[in-house]
Amino acid sequence: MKLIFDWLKKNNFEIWAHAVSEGDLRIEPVDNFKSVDFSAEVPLDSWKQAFFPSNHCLFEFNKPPAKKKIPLNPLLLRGETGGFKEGTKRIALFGMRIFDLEALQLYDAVFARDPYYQSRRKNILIIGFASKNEKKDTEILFDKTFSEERLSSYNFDIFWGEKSKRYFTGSPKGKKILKDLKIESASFGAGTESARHNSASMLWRDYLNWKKIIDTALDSKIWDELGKTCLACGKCSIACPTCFCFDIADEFQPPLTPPIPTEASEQGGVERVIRTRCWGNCFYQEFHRMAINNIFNDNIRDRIAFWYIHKFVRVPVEYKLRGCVGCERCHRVCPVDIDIKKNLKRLEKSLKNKKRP
Amino acid sequence: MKNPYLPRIATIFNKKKEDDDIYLFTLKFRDGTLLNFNPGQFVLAGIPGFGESAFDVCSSPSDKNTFQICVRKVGVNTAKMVDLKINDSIFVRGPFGNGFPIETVRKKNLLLVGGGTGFIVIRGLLQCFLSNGKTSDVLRTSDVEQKKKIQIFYGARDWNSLLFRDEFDSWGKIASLHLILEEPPEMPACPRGLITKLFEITKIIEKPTIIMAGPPMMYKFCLQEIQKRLNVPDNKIYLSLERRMHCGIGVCQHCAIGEKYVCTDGPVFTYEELKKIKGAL
Repeated sequence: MKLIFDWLKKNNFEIWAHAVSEGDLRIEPVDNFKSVDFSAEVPLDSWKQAFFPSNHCLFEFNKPPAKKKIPLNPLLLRGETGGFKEGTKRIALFGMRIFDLEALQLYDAVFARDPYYQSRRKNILIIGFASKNEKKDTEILFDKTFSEERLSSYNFDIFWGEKSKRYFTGSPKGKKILKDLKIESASFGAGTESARHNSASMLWRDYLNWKKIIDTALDSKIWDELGKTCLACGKCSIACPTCFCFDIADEFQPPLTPPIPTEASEQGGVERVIRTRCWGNCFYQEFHRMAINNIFNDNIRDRIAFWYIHKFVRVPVEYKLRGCVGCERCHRVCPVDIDIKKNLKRLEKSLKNKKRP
Repeated sequence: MKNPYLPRIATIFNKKKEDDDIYLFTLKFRDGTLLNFNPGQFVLAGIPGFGESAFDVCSSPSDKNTFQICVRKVGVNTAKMVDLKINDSIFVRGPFGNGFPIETVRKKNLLLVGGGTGFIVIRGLLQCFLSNGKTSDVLRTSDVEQKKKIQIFYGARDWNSLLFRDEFDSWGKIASLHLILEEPPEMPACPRGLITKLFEITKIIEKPTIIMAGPPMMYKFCLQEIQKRLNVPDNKIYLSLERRMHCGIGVCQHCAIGEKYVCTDGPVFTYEELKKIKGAL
């Protein structure tokens, strides 16, 4: 991995990795190999900031030149809506674990036709890693361990299995890098294809089971209880590697205070408007609010349920992929100890009890 | 790769006041492109700096060169929009969603139920039915004249809050219009009450297909009336839903209901689809 790290640095990649920062394990750009964490621990945040920044510009509206006599309302800006600029910065995600590769697979599917995501994504190199200290979880959904058959279904460039001491390549780009570095790359074992099929169908069957539980347990009292416990702070959704909701919002340049522009924009103080896309958070009331009739998901109970429905119902129906990769970041960042594993188990149990005569 | 977030610039061709704070805008794309929509589809429109809001397109698809949206001042963006003047610009994306299944309903007896600003989308449907057969590839006038009957239920607060009042006569050519107001004037005579009362006091056409648009409360009580009085299958009741929308293309999750999106699966749904989704209505 050191050789690859040095190669990335030499080739001017911005390198993101697991690293301890102010006492917590985070994901952030790193400068030297020594600061990279190779433990089996899950960091607090996810990689999504690298391929889907929390706030990015979609395009700008510029003010029309003064001499052009276009009949415009004074506050209206002329939009030279040229669209997205190609991303040029190359980023290497160094040490992505197997469950985060699964989350990336979902992002790749959701934003398959999104020009902004794609222009960024094509400059991102994925170097995966599995620690030799990984422990298997008894619950299939929450199992975070590496296996060849699992890896073979995901998108990556290079992957290092610490236990088997083998490098895998998942793309021509990855192959070329290893070749340049004279590192031998392993190919997946002969039985991987059929094993992949089995493993994928096992994960999927397990997931469909959870989908059914969420689908049928929507009236459960557990949701009322969660609604009372949850603070709707939204940290889980920020930490979640699969949460991809977003808002589209406009910003004035130069910024105006108060945020809702009144006089200044009409007097021509605004130079341009930036239309941005930023992470949305379905735990906030604002996410669901309409200008009138704001009655949808107007309580925390319904918003928590909305989050679970998204992960366990909407995503699998739409993308045939898992909307929860079992990383449990949401539990670790939760200030009131809401435990997704426990909740799923309780919902499952409540259904079993209900069915009993 | 096509950029789904880029709006087109539309010029305001006409602006007509319908009520206090409600205006009907006739728009035309500045680059000469057309909207090509079906009744029931919506656009995201707004002014840079103030965001975008969803509007049902409420003109006839056969008017190729222009299209109409009805804007009610309820938020920051719409407040700015209603201040615009003729020849000003509005930035528009769309059309989005699925409209009404025109092919399915074109030969059916129709009961159109609209409440308040929900009536805007019903107006789009009526404009479509009224439009001349020669230019419309959506619905031929002859279908309307010969085979089917249309009944309209329109409920509002008072006479002034009824939208499109100057079009009532033209609708009379193809449909019977039943109005009901919470605060009716002395003249013209009009029953007092909520829209549900019309189900009670009106003889409803035979075997209707029902299309409803209005606030969720209206859906709740009208569906009760329909179930009580009429024998209409759930898949013959269509409802147009409203939700907060940001992307319009089924990604951002703002308009998600159950496993569906109002923007891409709707905004028109059958009651059969919606009754399975908790919190949809």
